[in-house]
Amino acid sequence: MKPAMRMKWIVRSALALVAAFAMAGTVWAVSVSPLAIYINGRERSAVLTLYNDGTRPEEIQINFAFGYPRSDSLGNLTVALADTAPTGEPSALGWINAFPRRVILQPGERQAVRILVEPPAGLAEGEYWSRILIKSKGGQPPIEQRRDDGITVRIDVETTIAIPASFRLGQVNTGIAITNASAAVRGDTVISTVDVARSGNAAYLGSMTVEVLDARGAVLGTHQEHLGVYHDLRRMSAISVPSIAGAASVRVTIESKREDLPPEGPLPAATVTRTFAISR
Amino acid sequence: MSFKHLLFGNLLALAAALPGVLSAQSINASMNPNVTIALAPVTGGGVRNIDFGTISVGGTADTGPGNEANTSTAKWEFGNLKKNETVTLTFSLPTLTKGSSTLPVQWSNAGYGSWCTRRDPDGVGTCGGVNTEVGTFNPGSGGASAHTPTGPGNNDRILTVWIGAKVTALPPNMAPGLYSGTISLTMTIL
Repeated sequence: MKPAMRMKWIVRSALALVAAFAMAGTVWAVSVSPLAIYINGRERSAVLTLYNDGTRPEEIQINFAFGYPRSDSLGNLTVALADTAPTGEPSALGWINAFPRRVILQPGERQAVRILVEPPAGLAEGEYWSRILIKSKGGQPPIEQRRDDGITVRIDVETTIAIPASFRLGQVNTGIAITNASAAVRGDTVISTVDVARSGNAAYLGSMTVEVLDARGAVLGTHQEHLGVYHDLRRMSAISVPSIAGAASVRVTIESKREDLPPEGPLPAATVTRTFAISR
Repeated sequence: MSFKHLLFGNLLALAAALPGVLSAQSINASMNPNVTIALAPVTGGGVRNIDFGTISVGGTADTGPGNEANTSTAKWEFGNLKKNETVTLTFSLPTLTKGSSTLPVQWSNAGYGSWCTRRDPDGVGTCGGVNTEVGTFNPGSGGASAHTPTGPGNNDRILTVWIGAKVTALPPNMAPGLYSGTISLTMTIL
């Protein structure tokens, strides 16, 4: 990222941070920053900041898992988190750790958690993946529902925020390709299906913009979403268009920008665009 | 005055203006050679436990579908999400047992889970209208994904998740005691 862009991003982030913590009337349990951790081979550590902005003490546990976004034939997304990684996957599990792994935060208290990697000797260049799981209880005291004959029901809620944690060793690169794209009309909505595949040795982190165009190229409707492509992915979008009869084509643009991630998160990659006709 | 000095001055001014807020945060700025500022956090957690009310022997209980108006359902809320953010929601739903006795909770109910994302810079808004996206799901199906609305502003999207459940008829010979469990929601950033 160029210095001017980085500074602009920093200003935006700083103001957003102030605004976020200054929000009145909102009480949540645990704040986690940043939303993703990227550790390189030189530093081998990063810091995660936890903050209790609730009104009760919070016990927070830090764990690790393996998982990345996958999609089914309908484009539904899931991230299956597992204690071990499938064979052949670039996993950082087993040599990524956190200190401390268990903290109790009083209301208004914060804690820095250091994320450390100790990669095995001879590890090949590339990106290695894991997820940091930040688990907390919170909310209100459990409700106990008693019956006269001595049966008591108690159901608590707990929350885990799972964020990506990646270790990058040596030269890492990524790219994205649209392998298949189609669009159809359903009622007043254009349903677009876009299949993408990643290249290189690191995950592709970016954003996808889907635009419905009329015959002259004017934009009738837009959908935007963030992407995390670790191998391949199918995304479907439904864009409601007031003048559906005029919808002629769909333009998909994928670029390596993610405003929610630290600036070192998305790796540079060429922007990809494809325009295709809507079938009726 | 350089841009970096202006930035630093502005941050100090903000810190002075909001001492109760910033003193507890991790804004850590060192101007040269690198600027390090804590990123806007994602924040959230459980807000409300599930409430079946009183269940009599042989009777049933039903929280009804999870939604904003139904205060019997479990509720989570997450804030400071960016626009156009997609997150996945997965649930671990408990079996409530005591010894060999099981309290008959039915988690798999179409439409008993729902989510709403909204732009809410003041943190006091409700679901519905512009800058809102909603979805429903069956909690027993494992989960869903949610998308935050586009539009103006950025770090002010709020995600709310609700799930409800049913208790089928309690058998008269159920063992007395405490039947407890934990509903666990994992919200994953892509």
